[in-house]
Amino acid sequence: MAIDSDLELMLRVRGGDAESFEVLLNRYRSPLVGFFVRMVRDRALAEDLAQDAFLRVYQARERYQPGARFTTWLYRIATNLALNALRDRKPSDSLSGGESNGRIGITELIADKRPTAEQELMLSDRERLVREAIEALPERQRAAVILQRYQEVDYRQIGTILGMSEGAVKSLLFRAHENLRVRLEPLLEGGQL
Amino acid sequence: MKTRQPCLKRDTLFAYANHMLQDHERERVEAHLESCETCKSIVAGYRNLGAVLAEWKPVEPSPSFDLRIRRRIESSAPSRTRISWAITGWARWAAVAAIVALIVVAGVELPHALRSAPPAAHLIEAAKSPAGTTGPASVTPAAPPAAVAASTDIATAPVESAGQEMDLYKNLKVLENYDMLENFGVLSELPQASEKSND
Repeated sequence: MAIDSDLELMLRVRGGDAESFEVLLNRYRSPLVGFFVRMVRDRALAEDLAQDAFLRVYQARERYQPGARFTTWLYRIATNLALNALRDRKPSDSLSGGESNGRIGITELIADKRPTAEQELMLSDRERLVREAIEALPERQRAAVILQRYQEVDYRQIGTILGMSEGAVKSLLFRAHENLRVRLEPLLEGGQL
Repeated sequence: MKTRQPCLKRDTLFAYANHMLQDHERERVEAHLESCETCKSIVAGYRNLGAVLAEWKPVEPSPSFDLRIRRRIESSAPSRTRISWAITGWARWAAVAAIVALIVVAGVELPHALRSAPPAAHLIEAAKSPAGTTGPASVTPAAPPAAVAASTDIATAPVESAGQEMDLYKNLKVLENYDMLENFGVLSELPQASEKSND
């Protein structure tokens, strides 16, 4: 049985075929959640944002025009959602920030979905260093690195997603990797950086 | 003696390591790398950086993810409402028309029925009295149920017994379901009258 392309599936979704949307959901559920987890760190928020992204795709199905690749459209929606979520975050919710007044309220306990100490222990030291290095990048650099390294999106697509030229994307990625190189120096062996 | 070429810029080496270069530029870099250990080491370092970044493993969605997205899609009001109205619009309009008609009829009939209804105390009194005193003999034989059913009759006909009272309620146009009428407390207290009316 031939595997339907994203484009074919999305055109069927536009025509009201719910099963095709299920196929797209199965295909991009894990990549999208992975993208958001890496972008916002907070797993529960990441799942909410992934759901928002799928919901927007579904709600916009009637207006879908098969011009760009489906993944470009999907990740453009996802990136906008992630960047907005990061900007909407209060200072007390920042990744490195602690509680502003030293107390943790019940609301904060419920809302604080950052990895627990136990979850942190499950990560290897190396993996934690990588995560922290990427999280320390400016938002657009982080988005570009995640799209390139983990979502396997090509440079032209990244340009469309972030609204910049292919050359600008390459330059952005270079600066991001220079930052990563400095932070991850202890992990780098073989090769001079 | 061949002079050593200066090292390439780091962004060029990064672009080479990440397959960003066009063919002719890639060939130029490769030619340089053959004789420059420093640049070769930098390229190896960028590739190693890529391998280190890959150590951040992906996270799988929670098992409830699909269920939640389906619920959200089902409850996404704007698009769903449009679709459901498009598909079942005629049925919805029919239902709206029926409700409007019911409200209009209720507005016309119910006030009349309520005006003609005696106080509850009077009904209870009538129910407690012996059957002979307020029984069929006192009911006007010339008042058939059909006549009672007309709204004008309900409003104007004198209520002479509990049995007649029950007939009034039973024949209301709006509330045709007698079971529904039994929900009114005042009627549930009239078992005898109810029996008479069924005669």
